[in-house]
Amino acid sequence: MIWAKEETYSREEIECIQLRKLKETVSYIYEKVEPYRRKMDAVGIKPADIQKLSDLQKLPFTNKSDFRDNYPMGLFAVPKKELVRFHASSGTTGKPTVVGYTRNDMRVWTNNVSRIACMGGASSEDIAQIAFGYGTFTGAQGLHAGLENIGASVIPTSSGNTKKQIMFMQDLGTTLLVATPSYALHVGEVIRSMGLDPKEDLKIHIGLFGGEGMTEPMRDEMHRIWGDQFLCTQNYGMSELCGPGVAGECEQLNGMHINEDWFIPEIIDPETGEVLPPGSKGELVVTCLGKEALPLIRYRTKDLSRLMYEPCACGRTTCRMENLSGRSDDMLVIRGVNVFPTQVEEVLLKIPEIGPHYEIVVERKNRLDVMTITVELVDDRLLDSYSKLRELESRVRKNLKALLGLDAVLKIVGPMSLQRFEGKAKRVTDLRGDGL
Amino acid sequence: MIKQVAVFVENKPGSLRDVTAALHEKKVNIHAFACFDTPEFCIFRMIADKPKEVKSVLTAKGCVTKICDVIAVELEDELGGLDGLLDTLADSNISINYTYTSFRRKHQIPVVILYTEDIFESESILKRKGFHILTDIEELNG
Repeated sequence: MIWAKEETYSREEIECIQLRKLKETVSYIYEKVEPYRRKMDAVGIKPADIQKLSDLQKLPFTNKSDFRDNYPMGLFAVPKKELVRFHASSGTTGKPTVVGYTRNDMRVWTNNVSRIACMGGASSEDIAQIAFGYGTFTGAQGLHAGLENIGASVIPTSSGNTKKQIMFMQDLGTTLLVATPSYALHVGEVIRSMGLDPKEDLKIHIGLFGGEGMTEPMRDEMHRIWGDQFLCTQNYGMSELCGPGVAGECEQLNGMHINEDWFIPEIIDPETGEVLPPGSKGELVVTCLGKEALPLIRYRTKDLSRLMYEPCACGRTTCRMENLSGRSDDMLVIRGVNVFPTQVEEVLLKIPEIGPHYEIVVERKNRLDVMTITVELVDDRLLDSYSKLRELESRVRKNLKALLGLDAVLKIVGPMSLQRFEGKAKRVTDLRGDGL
Repeated sequence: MIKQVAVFVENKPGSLRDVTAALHEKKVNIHAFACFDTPEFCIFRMIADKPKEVKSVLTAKGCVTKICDVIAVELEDELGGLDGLLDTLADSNISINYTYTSFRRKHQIPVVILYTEDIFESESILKRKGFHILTDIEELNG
């Protein structure tokens, strides 16, 4: 079913809403958010200059670095007492990216997620198990609220503890799973290893996947493990924009419908910042419409995609974004967690026993991401005993875990073992390929 | 007490050989060494001539290297010799961190290399109990 009538508006109607909200948003942000006002002033643009949708291109971009430069709440447009929720995601360095919501933002967010859930086949009949990590990440809370809003019954299992996940699936009759696609594959394999057939022995027939991209080979594998009846869709969002609820796949599995009455997508050349003609592949830039706590104009997502405006057989008229085909920066998504190499670097630089050079390798073992970080030992005092070396290893891992929320495998090598770079260092090797 | 050199060695084929090749080239004589199975890396410990030179050669090669004091104690080359030494240490409540062996070349006397939490204390106890402690690596040639 289609949750909101706005999803089926004609192009003219959608653009009419977008222009009205864009004008309001630009006036609002110019008045309330000083850092963005300065950006606009720097290029000599006033809110009154926005008269048609294409005028959006005159506005300056917002970057993730703007969150860092204005940490924690410099981009917020409302006083703290107006906020009802905070969330946070990875920053490029030690400080997270903090986002906030007013009561109205929460209402809009929830409804946008409800749309995505319905696109993916969810209904009030569903028993939805949420295997995203709860906490400051937006994924779990967003899907939780959106699914409850359509009347589904939510089981907030959070991530991990696969045996318990399976127990709930069996005992409560879960019909819908929210997870990262790689975790869903892992759970499916564990179910099979227990001698169960997900198709016969469980009631799960819908997967709403997010947190990381799902490749087509992963989707095929999903069907092989969970059965052909399994409708697995992915959805898109990021905490800066609100969290999940920006876009999602419908049963046609042909790109993710963007909630265009709340988000204006553009595709730009990541090098030049030029807006590319319709149908081109490039970096996705999103303008949030009507957000109260954290209005964002032309936010550079760094995700590479393409926009499709052709009508979809599902009946929705909203533009679709093609499944992500990479990033224009070096961010990694590991177990659904965004990781910037600079974060890892910051942790390592604070540990004097190891050198400043490092290497990150990400692999997928048993469907789960494994990050191995290789560092060079420089302090000879650790050679007194193996326990000192082990202590170093566990200290580095603990610090990484505290900052990233992720376990890493640490490999200690001798000095000068790692490759040195004259130009831009290539410290990250991602061996995950098609995601399997 | 004598000097031991410890080197950090990665667990891959040829890595230990890189160390010995460098020492061979510098005509360094290794009197004893120890190296045990660990998954990722190991500490290669040795008693070698000219420890300071060994450290500078290996450091120049990019190896993390450390010199420290260890106890080198002579054993009676007879049944129960090792047991007698360990009995003395146990009696004095001394815990051994690691140990390996060497020998005095000309005299054919076995030597035990020992590292404990407090090697100065351990050394004086052994001396008091009548053990002969080596004070110079040269003695291993004798």
